Amino acid sequence: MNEKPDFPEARDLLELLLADAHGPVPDAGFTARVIVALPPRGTLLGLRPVLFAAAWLGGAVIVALHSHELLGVTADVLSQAGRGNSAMLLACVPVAVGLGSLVWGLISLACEEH
Amino acid sequence: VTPSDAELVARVRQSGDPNAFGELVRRYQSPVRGFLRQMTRGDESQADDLAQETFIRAWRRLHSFRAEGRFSTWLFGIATNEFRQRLRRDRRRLDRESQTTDLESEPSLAAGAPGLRLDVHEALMGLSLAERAAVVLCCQHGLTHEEAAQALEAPLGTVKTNILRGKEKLRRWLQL
Repeated sequence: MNEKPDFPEARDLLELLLADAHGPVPDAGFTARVIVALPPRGTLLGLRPVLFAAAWLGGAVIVALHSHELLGVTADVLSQAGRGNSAMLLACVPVAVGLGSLVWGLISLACEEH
Repeated sequence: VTPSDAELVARVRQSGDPNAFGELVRRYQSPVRGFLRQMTRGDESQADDLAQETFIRAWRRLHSFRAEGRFSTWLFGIATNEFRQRLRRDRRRLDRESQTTDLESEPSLAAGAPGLRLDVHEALMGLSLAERAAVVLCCQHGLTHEEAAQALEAPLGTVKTNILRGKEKLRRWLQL
């Protein structure tokens, strides 16, 4: 428990002390440093969520339309990989890169929003 | 005629005018840097680094600013998040903070020391981070309890409690 009663005078004095302890911070070139460090405001930056969503939807439609062929190709790749066919494995690189880009895009978008 | 914050924000949004944003930085660099100096225990270099990050993030996220609130409240919210992220990244600093967030755990500064009067700055540094942030925002920067709760992303009741506890501690330590 607080030993001293909560007198209004004490409360006022504390607030005065707190206000007095807070002096203005001189700019001293801070604003100029911030302005120099500002990244360009690209118009595409604001459109990124829209572009990203559109690309994702487009990809989803393509996958839905060609799911049978894609499943067949995947099965071929897996069976060829079992026989050590490196050419077929190399063909998977673009797919892996695409998936990586997708993940990176999602992560960077999440970071940007936070 | 001095343009309002809302007018400057609109200019930045519409044309990406860096001069308009520069005016906003000039207006709010002092409170933001002052707040961060208190939060970093007077580490001016780190506080300015965080303040710069705060304004850069504000520049990037200006589209998310809602005009119904004050621009300063929104900025303090970003500054608080920058500070929290820095704390998370710097675990050693977090440990140091957690060891010395309460002055009563330090015998030399305990209430028993006769005739000892602490400086306001020293006393503020003794508050927990949550208490310090709430007291500094409301008592030094003039935010309402509601605005502080918004900036700190904390429930209103928690902010009120932190201010009450923080002030009680300050009165005791400052012998008011």
